[in-house]
Amino acid sequence: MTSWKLLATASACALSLGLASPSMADVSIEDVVNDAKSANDVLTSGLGGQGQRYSPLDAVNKDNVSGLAPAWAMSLGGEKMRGQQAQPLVKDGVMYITGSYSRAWAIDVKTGRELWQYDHRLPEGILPCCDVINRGGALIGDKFIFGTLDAKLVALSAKTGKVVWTKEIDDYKAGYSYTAAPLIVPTKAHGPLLVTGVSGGEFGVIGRVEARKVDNGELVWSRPTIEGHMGTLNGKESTMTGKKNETWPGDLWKTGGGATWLGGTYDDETKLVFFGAGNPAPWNSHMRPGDNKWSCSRIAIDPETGEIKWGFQTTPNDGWDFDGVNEVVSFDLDGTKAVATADRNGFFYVLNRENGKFIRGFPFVEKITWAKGLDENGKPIYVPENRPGNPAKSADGKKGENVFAVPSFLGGKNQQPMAYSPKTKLFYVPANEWGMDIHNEPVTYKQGAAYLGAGFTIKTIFDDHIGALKAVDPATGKIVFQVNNKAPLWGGVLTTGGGLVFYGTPEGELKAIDDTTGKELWSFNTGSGIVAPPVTWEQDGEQMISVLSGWGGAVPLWGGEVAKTVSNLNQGGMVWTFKLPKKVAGN
Amino acid sequence: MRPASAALQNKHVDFLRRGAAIIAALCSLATGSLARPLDEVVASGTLRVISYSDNAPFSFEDQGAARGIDVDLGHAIARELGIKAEIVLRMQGEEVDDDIRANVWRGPLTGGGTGDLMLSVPIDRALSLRNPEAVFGNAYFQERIAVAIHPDLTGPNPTFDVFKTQKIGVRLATVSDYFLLSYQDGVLINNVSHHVKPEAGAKEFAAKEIAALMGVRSELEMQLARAGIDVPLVEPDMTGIVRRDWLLGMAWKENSRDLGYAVQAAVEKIRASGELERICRTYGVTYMPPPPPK
Repeated sequence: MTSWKLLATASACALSLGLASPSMADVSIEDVVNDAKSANDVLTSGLGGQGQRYSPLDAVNKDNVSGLAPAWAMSLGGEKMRGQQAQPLVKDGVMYITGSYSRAWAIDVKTGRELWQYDHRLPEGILPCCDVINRGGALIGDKFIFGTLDAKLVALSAKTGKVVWTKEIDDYKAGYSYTAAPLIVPTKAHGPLLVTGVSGGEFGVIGRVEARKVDNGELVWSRPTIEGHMGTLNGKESTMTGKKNETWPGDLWKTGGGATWLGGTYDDETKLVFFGAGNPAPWNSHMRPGDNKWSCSRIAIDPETGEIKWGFQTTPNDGWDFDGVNEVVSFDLDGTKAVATADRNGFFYVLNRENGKFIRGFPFVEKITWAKGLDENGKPIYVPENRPGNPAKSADGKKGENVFAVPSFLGGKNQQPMAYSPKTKLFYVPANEWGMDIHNEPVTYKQGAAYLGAGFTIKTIFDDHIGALKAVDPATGKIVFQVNNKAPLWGGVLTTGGGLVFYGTPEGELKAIDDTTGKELWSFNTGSGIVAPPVTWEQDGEQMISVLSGWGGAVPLWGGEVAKTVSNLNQGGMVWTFKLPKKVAGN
Repeated sequence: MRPASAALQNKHVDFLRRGAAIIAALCSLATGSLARPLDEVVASGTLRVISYSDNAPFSFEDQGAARGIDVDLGHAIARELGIKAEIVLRMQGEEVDDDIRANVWRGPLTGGGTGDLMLSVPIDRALSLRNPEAVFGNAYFQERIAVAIHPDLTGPNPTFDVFKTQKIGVRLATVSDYFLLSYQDGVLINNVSHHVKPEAGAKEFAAKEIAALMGVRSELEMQLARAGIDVPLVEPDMTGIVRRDWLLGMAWKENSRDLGYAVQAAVEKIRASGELERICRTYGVTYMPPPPPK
């Protein structure tokens, strides 16, 4: 009973220091697996491995949410006010968050007081592609583990914030970084594993999913996302991903891309890990005729071996930069073990999670121009005129034919995670309605040399909104309601047993809406833009709700018409925590 | 993921701003009220020069030391200004635009600051128009596309048709790659061998796994020199290639124009004395001077 011993030590420590520090028990793998069922903690990104972001708590509900008020707020401080995208974790009265510039904190959830802060020492001059964000950590045993902008995994003592081990995912000098929340997965063969993807890396590097021992970070298996590449298991080559040259011409599979830069999910019923893979290289799809698997795909991996159990490609032969990284959420579809994913490409997919078979797919955004729809296997029916032209075929040989494609490459949905309510049987999808002018552009410059690239200009479609929180019925493909938002939505969603859907906006509001009608029941201005998912848990009999506020991420980097909706937003960096006041003045 | 340049908005506005900036710069030359202008650089005793950390032959790290044509040129420029150079080698962003932002005018988000001068910057009108915070100029080298061949495999004067049966190596997504993959509607695709790191291409070429290696001449020359391979470099007909040469120059802050002029004079001296050619030769590279303006 290690946890009891630790608890005793922790209490003794607290006593000797004379602090009312919470007693902390180890996080067991059973705790992690059962996270969705336990309402008094938040141990995983996604409030459970399945990623539903649903809490059964109903103390805060449709009738009383209007009285929700701040309990405390804590500043992430310094001059480092950049985008805050982390989802908090909560265990035994301690909240664990990560922030911009690869920082981490432990916070006393009763007072909002900082217990420890860890500042990762970043090398000078690194250039992460999209702000200096982090999407949160993982709790296991006595450790809090997260990834850094210089592509390291850092395991901290949850109690002290001191480093237990660090492991390099890859060389930051080659452009690698890490920003997603790692995933903890149980296995029979290796014990609990820490499963991550890779982000960044030079153009053309191969995406991969990797599993490590949580005790020391030692690599157990690695699974490349592009066909033709060998995986590893226990330090030896295991099997090849797919079949070499099946869907790639020439040797382009060698440099095929497929980055796994957003985190994965885990379903304990099927014992499968789900990850998405990004776009293929090079940009110009005319250069790589074929499906280019498993770029722009979701793959299901057996965590015992790192073998791919099934894959589903959302955008074969991608020509629009529709990364396939968006999260895969497990849910029960009238008795069928299903998963759903809302793709960059504007389609919502419902798949059988045991075998990856396509059940149904439908648009979750109002307009899609690049495909007419999906066929019976879920493959897109392309609109050939809406594929960016081949520059080699253009009149001047300089610039491929420009097309206006919807959605834009930033996607019908981007990294911001959706939520699923088993109560309403609806998904709540933080969607964006925007398009892009895109052309294949032969001359851009990279490191002093001429390269071929793609030219993009993001454009709005509607005058009054880009963002739209959509309630999506996975059984019918109907959009039950939607709540429009002027700026693009970039934070995630939480839904609760109290019949509420919580989400933040770049304008800075944390909102609670009715889960069946979309009616706004509460909102609070956090002072800076919200680009992170909220969480809820029960603390000493009270339901708490927390979210990070701090504008940043990729959206501010993109110009054009989108910039107008966000140009007046101020930087920030706060954790806000809310609850219902016990006493209200005037009662 | 994709490169972070994207929208080329405000082109016209920027052009007007540039015009205004030139006038402003000329005016303030007289008063000397520029941010880190020549006077201040000289007074500080140090010229801060930034180039890439992994971009041989122009700049690279060799057992912890900065080396390369840019490194030697940076020192020579500082010497001509009567001061010392601080050479900073940085990794590249997804596109040169990102590097201009990080190295010339804003600085990286993760700290380290900007330089007075960034080297290995392509001189291109579209690039300078969309980065009005920087001034581009002082071209010092012409990059050219060339092909290294094993004549025993390709014959002495091959056309690209030979790669219908022989293999050719190329760096992924470069203009050379683009040319090879689109040649005659893709007939060469199965014989194009891609690499991401130039060293990997040189290794394949040295082992004769490929009959030819296509790319930027300066890079090919240095890789071949390093590998001790003496083979001909040819520049066959490349009808349809989108860019077979471009100029490398420098970028500096929009409000440090007098520094740019002083550096121009220094580079002119270093070139005229033959020093630049000697520097290039140190790295096995043939000096390719920018052609005189038309």
